[in-house]
Amino acid sequence: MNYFESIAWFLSWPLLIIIVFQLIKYFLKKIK
Amino acid sequence: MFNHLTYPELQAYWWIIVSLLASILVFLMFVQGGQTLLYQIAKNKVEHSLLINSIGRKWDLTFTTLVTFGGAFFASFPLFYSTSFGGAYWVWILILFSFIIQAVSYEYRSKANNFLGTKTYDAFLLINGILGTVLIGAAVGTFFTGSEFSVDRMNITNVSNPAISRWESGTHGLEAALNITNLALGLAVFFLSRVLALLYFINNIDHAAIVQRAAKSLKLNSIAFLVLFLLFVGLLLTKEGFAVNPETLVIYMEPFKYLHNLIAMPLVLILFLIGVAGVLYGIFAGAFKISTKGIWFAGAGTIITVLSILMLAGFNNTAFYPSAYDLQSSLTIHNASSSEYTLTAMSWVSLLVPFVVLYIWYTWKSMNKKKVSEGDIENDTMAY
Amino acid sequence: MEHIDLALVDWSRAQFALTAIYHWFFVPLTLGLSFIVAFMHTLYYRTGDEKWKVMTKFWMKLFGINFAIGVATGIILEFEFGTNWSNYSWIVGDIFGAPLAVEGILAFFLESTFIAVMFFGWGRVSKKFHMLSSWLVAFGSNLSALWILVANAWMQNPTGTTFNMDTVRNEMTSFFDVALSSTAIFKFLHTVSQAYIIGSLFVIAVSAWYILKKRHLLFAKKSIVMASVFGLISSIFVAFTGDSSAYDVAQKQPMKLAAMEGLYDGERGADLYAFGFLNKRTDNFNFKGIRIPSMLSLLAHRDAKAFVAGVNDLVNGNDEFGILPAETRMAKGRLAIQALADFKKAREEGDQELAAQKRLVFEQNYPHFGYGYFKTKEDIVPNVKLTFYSFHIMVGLGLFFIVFFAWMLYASIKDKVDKYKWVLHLSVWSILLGYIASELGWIVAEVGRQPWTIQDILPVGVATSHLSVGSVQTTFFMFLALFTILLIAEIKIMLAQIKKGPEEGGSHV
Repeated sequence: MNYFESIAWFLSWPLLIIIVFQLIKYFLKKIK
Repeated sequence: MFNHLTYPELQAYWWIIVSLLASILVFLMFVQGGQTLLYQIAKNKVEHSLLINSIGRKWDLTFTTLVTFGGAFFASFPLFYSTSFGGAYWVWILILFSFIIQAVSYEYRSKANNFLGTKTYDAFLLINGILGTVLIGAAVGTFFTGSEFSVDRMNITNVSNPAISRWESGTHGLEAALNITNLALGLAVFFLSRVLALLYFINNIDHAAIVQRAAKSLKLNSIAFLVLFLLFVGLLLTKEGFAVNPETLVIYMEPFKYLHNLIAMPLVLILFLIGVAGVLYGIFAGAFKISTKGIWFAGAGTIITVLSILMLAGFNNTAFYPSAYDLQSSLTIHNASSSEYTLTAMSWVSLLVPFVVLYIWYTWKSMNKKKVSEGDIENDTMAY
Repeated sequence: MEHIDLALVDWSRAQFALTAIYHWFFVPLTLGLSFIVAFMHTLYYRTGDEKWKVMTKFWMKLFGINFAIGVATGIILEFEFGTNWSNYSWIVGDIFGAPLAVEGILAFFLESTFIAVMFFGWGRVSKKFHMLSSWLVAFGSNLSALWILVANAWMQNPTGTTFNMDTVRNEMTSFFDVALSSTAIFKFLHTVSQAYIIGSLFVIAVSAWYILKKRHLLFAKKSIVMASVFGLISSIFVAFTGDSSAYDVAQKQPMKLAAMEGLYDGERGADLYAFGFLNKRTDNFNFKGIRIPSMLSLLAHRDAKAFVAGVNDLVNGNDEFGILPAETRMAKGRLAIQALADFKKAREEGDQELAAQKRLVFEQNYPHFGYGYFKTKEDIVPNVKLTFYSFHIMVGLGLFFIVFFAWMLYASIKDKVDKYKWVLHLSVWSILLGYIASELGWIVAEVGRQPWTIQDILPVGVATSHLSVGSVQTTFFMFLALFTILLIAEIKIMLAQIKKGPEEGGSHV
């Protein structure tokens, strides 16, 4: 795996957090 | 940027960084000092709580500095990390134990369903305050007095017994406390931590009686500190030290080595004098003017003084971790460091340090803008 | 006395395992709960709704209780490489020390500085700065995980390194090879997402308990929604990154992979056994669970027909697939070690020609250097049973978590969370399952890596400090006693805070 692939995979981490937070807001609306 | 530095220059740079971390650690050990003053300065539960919450908000900063100091020392001088921690095993284990029990004490001491009890945790804090300062001071003392160890890297080729360093003293590090120079430094650090704590209380706590008591207590603690500090400096500058011949790399004993270092490096001498002046003025300001600024002069002075003392240990062809058992096993900043590549890579990382200092300064300022007061703690559900 | 004391090695391993396992009880919750708190704090900041403030403060309090003991159990590890593994610290310190230093400078200060703001900044700093502090604590703690995992990954796959015959140690040749190795990246992703599972399970467990007690119902339901989303995404991510990690292991640590799968005799198109009971005597399965044909080859090498090496192939060699027998590697390793000694001697005597010859011998045999320290070929085999069961139970639990979070999310949207009492009870206990899976993962990684501290380079027996067994036994029991006492104290305090509950409707700053 070259450096760019590694960095790309690493960036999946903050992406995960962002996606999770957006989904949380979405589902919270559903239970209000 | 760092590719232009030679290997010896990189090694010198990292000795400065490690020394700076150690200096900042000594300053931040005002937390430890405060932990030994709780019963003297506080006369009731409320006052006790004020002291705890004052230094308690900084305990993690000191702790983190200790951990980072360890990591940085490992990365830049791995032979020291290996030889000292694996050899002076008991002194380091005791130091670490005292910090382990400190780490939970602020958070747990007043929580509900507390099976160890508040008194136990406060005892933990007292133990950490004493052992943390005295033992770290004594361990640093061995930089000047030497320890009993031998190093032979080629032992790795001895398949049946490949240990490359051996500690020759059965007490594995505890013997440091028996040497008067080490003990003087250890006790000096202990009393200095109390002096700094008292200055911090004056700076940070909004309670007239506590501030008065702190100013009063400053006088005795400062005298104790100064006597011990002068004793250490006197012993240091008159003792023989571990010199390295830069050409042959042979290590030999040189009378008045550290005095010679001080004279050979006038900048270090100037720093030392400025540092000491800072500490003295801070004490004076706190004890006699009850000034909240005392901590800043004494704190900055502490950092500069400790830095200059550590320069005496590592620079001017001196072995910073000498072996009294086998001189030629002594560690210098040139034979104990990481590779040129690693020091260069780490130097890039070191550029982050000013940013770290910046955000620590900023948050310290924001959080300390208002002093700690009774009302402060009563309404705070997160209070310790 | 002068032989490697096996008892010293084993007690040193036991002590490191003890301190690491204790530390790992607390770290995942810090990593996961820190983000959950940051989410809640942001929602409070954005809406100004006091209910979010109550939630944030409550989970933050529990976070603080856990964080303190996480820190307490962590400091010993920072120095334990030196205290108990001093040979290791010198031989590979040039590479290993760097990520530890970066961890301190970059991450520890970030989390410890802003945690003070997070805890004590209510009303003391601006609301925005306060909210940002929660995020910085989350990022700081997760970034520290990154660097220590980079270090551990390097132990499994020592890349970017060369051996320097003059300084007699390994030295770093490429920082980015070390920091960006696939082993490091996937280990990081897998470990943090596993921690998010723990954080989510914890929140659900506490919330489920409140629902069972008919307390703080809205608080609990909101918490469950958030944790279910976090948990579901994370557990799917854990599965994928776990697969990537295992693929990496198959390439770089074939013995570990063989142990993980209980594979003694390698095969082409190797089947995957979902479970089984190993029989050590016959080196085979007594009972084989569900069998998926060719799946192991597919997972390990992305090729259903690929050969997957078994323990016996690695010990006895396999000509067909170019696997050297252990004894051959041991012989070559001995040649390398001897060449190093001879090289040094030649240098001291000024015989440059001989030195150059010995250097050549060393370089030719260096890939087998570590093997030169073993006495028998069986020395290279880790504890297969422990690795196998740990791995399979962990994966089983991982699959369960996906189903569990999916159900909890569905139930909370449909307001069915309190419908099945047994699910609520299961929710309370699932946090324990999370901790078990979490620790088992580390058992796989570190027991599977034995007998190596650094794969193929440094066996565990060559890595310790020169101490008496008695010293290490003493500190082992000191740590056991201290950490157990602190663990009990922490659990009691944590349970008391949970019982107390969030401060709803109370007057507070």
